[in-house]
Amino acid sequence: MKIDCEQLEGDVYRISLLGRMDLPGTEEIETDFVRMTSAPRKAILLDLSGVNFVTSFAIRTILYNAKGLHRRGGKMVLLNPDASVKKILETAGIHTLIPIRPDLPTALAALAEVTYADDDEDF
Amino acid sequence: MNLFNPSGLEIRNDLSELRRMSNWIQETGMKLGLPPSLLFDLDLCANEVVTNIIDYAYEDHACHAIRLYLAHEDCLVSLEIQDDGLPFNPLETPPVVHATTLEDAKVGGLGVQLVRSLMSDSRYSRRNGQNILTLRVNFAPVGS
Repeated sequence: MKIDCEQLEGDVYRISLLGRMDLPGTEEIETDFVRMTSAPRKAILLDLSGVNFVTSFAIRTILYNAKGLHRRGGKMVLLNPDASVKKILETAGIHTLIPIRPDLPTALAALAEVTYADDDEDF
Repeated sequence: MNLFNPSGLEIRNDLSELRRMSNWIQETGMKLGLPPSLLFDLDLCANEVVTNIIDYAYEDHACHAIRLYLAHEDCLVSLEIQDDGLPFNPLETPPVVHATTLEDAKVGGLGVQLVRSLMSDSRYSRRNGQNILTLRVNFAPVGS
């Protein structure tokens, strides 16, 4: 798997994942993923448009980093997963915890507006 | 069910075999004319189940064989996964692994949840020292 990060306006960081997010693929990028979502960064767009496969290990990894962000008052939004990946994220209930948006404008809007209803919410 | 000649694969109980397993599912499934979305679900379920087997079914550090069989008849696909580990149903909660973080504890069982959601049914049996898990899924034929 490949991972890339670019800084957008307003201190938003777009982390792009590319490839197969199975166990070995996720392990390849997870150290960089943690680093790219760590302090002082607070607004993260996780671009999943280039991801063609996902497993529970990948979902747990995404949740782990989203949870860390949340604890620091930050936010994550998932950007444009393809239909198969989106189906798995929704089956796992991720969309109720981390917003999923189909394009950049709506994803940026979600980053600006999203609040967690319960501060003690556990994934 | 074309069980007379299901396609079979043997892998070692090693996580480095997961990609080879997935490649086999994709190639075999395509030859059987299965739609890509179905192959995605089968590939995912195989990854979840086999990862659980590798992580939890063995007490020793020896090399073991895990066998997979893929077959279909009409619109029903069957994926059978066999291993010679301890009596263990990969779709049951694994032996207690104490979570190191609250987050891990909360999302335990996600792989099993995905398999139960994506497959039409699953059956576990134990025969001749083998764990046998059969996953079945109905699908709509391409073009219907």
